Amino acid sequence: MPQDPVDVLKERARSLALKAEVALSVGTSLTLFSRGKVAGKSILYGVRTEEVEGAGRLRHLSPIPAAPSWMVGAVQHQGAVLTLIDLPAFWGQELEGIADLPTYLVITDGERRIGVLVEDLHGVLEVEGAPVLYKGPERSGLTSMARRAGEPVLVVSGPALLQDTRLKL
Amino acid sequence: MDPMMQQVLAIFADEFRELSAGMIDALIRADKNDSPEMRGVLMADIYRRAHSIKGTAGTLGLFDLEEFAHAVETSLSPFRSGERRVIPQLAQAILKGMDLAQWRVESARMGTEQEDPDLRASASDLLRLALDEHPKAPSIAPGSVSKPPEPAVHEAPPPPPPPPSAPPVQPVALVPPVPLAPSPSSTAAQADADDEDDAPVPEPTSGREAATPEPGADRRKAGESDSLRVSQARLLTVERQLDELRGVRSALETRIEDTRRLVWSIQAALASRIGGLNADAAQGEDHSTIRRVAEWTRDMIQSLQGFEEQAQSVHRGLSTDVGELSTRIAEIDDELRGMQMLPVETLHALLTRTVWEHALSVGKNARLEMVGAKVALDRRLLQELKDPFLHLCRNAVDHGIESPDERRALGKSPEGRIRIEVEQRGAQVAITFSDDGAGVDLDNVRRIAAERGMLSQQAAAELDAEGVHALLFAPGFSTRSTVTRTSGRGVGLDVVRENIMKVGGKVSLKSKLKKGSSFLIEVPLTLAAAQALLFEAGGHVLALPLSAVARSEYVSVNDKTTDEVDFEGQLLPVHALSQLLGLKAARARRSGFPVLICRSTDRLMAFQVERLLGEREVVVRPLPPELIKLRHLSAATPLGDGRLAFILNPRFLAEAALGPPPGEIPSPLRRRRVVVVDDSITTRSLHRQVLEAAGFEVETASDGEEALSVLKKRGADLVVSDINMPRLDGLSLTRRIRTEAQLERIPVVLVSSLDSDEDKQRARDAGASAYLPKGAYQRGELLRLVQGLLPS
Repeated sequence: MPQDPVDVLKERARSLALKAEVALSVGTSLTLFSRGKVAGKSILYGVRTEEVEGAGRLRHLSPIPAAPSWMVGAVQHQGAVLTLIDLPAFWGQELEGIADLPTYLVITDGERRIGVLVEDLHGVLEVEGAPVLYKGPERSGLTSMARRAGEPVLVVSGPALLQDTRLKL
Repeated sequence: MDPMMQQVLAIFADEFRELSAGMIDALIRADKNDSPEMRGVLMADIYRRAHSIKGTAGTLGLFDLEEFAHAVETSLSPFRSGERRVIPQLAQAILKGMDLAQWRVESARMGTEQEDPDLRASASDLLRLALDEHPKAPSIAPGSVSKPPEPAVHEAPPPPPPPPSAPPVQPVALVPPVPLAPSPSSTAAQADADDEDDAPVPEPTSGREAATPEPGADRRKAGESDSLRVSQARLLTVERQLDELRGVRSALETRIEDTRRLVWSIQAALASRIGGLNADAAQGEDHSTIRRVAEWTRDMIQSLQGFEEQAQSVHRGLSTDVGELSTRIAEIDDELRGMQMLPVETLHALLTRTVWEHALSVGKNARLEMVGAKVALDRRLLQELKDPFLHLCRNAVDHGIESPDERRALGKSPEGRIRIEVEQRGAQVAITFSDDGAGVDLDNVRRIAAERGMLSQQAAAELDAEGVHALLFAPGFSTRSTVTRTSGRGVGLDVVRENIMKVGGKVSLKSKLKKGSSFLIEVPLTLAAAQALLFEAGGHVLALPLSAVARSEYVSVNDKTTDEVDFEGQLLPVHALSQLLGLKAARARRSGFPVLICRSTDRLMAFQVERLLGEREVVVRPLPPELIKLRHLSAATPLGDGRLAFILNPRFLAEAALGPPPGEIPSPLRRRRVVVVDDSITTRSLHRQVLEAAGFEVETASDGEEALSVLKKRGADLVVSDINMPRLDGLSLTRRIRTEAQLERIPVVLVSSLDSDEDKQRARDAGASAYLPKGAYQRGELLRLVQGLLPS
């Protein structure tokens, strides 16, 4: 029996809506970081600066017993428990080599927060040119792509990331 | 918005909350009071508050609010003397209007200048009701009280100057707010200005325990206040500062250690030089060079002696400073904990209103009494308990309290009574919710359970009272034949129980037919601190609440058996905690290992751990949502070195070791658990929604590896999986499930876009229980498959 076309359209609309609601515009400020390499080149990510609550040096990381592998651990951040995740593992990716991850970025949707491990922080960038919707393999939180000196920057949306059911009750 | 206006609006928002809570409280009490004189006093209070709101609203340019406040005054004028009770429709309309007004004030505070048409409509409704009731009452046409001034652009008037005696307006809310209008008569609330879901302002403490206050007792001095308002932001700042202070203390302790070593080094150096010089002198050598060296050395020694004294002094100073710092930290810690506590009576106004309004809406009469409401609980705990309390109140009105006629026929007073008694019992607080209503009809519940297929006829008939009461907490169970706004969907008491358990509490029910029902809720006094036992297991530092640990002991390898321990005559099998949690097992010690004997809801279990680290009072930090999902964790606590230790959930451990508790929820009523596996977040969400709506508990995984890990740790009744996924695809996952002893019986439904006979055969060969092509996928089809595969 063919799938109900209305259902197909609803599914599609839901999927597009998730991406469309976080579309960037030229001039939006992104905090840049790198995590992972492909063919020897660092993969660059950006988060809207207003979705970055802060950053921290990774000290006193506490492993979480019996947690999924992408939950690297937890730290105390401003008096509260902050979970640290490794985005590639969260997305089921395997990366080249072993990375030193000395820093974390605190990403927020205005109410909740999550820490993501980073290899390097690259400062703040203003979006150049017209940003495009991210169309790669489905990765929770990845919504757009921007450019920095000709290099692609994958934009992670705090609200979209924190909507992942693994991060919600 | 002009920053000063913003500030003023924030202060008005606080003031409005107090005025509004007082008005509502007075309205309810006036309705319940039989004394016209007392009603008159209460009406005068309402008038004063409404007048205050009207004046300030007009000054601030909130003309819709001004009109509403004026409409309140006007509509209540026929009842002002207290001779007559306010008609229920008018009271309800005022309550609804106050909610709209609250919203208006909050949105103005956040910068919205737009008027609220609903608020103006509410004002019109009040006037219309007043006219219907008392045609001769002064009628004011809607909108005529105040209109937005001409021309079109309106500038907010400057805020009025504070009264001369009032302190200047401060940006930080740790001073009493500047009164903008005649001071309301109230105690300041500890309710937080920044919390949206704040418990409402506590009613003025009048010593009210149960009965209506005596006439005159309600008169209180304007501006009387014995508490301070503290903003949440400020509280968090202090908490952060405390953490930083702890870091400083750590650093200072290191410095003390450094100076102690310095002193030792200097002492050692001095001792060796002095020893050398004495030796030379004893030999009587008199060479000029040696003399010079000796003089030089003496000078050095004198200098070093000076350094040693200085170092000693620094060391003493640092020790004193650290002692002082520790004292300050302890004081701030105590302050913070005190600030975090709120009396249960904070919820009194809200619950009173809920009972009154809800009873009115269903044609019943009920009042709420609170006893022992001064007992203070952690504010976060109180926040979590607010919804369960609200539900229990509505539940009591819906299911407990009979109609006035029914009550008269039973010889009861037409007004039902709902009573909340709060009692502190050590580190726990016991809260009893009781009503004098109909009680639980045990036979009716048994019949409904059998009719709905939850239990067989025989099982239902044999269920004792405790079992019947437990049924009422089961998800989806309701004795109502119709659905109302608050009852009948069967999503009430199970959520109440879950919310209470989430804060480490428990709830039970007792009832007597035609006499009433009583819920007993027991919760810890505070979430902020607890006594805990720390230990190591699986390479982690972990903790258990001390209340969950019956005993700890050491099992020697020389003991007769190391698989069981005897606790008060009962043999308990020993479970390796690291294995239970899926952690790496520690190397077995040659001599033996510690065992913790734990209890959860009267069940006992024994766990082998690697090392005991001792009992202590720990600071409890709540977990973020993604960690709450890990059911084996309940909280975290900071260790002295900056790391965190996780506090385990004894209830989860009991279920993991012993299975679900018997009798609490009969197994046919346990929610079936489905693990959904797909690398597409959209598909996972879709499946989850469909299955959860049908009453299943759903956990998701983004690929086969993750799914396998979830299944091993938490099990499942069924798996729904995509085929094409990274790391471990659906076919491989199915094969792995079929080869693992603990998982092999779990049905697997594979959902795939591939639809050939070959694909279906591959799925069968892998061991799948069913195959659903995505092209044929419809929500109903998946659900039918899942329900068909699960044994009844």
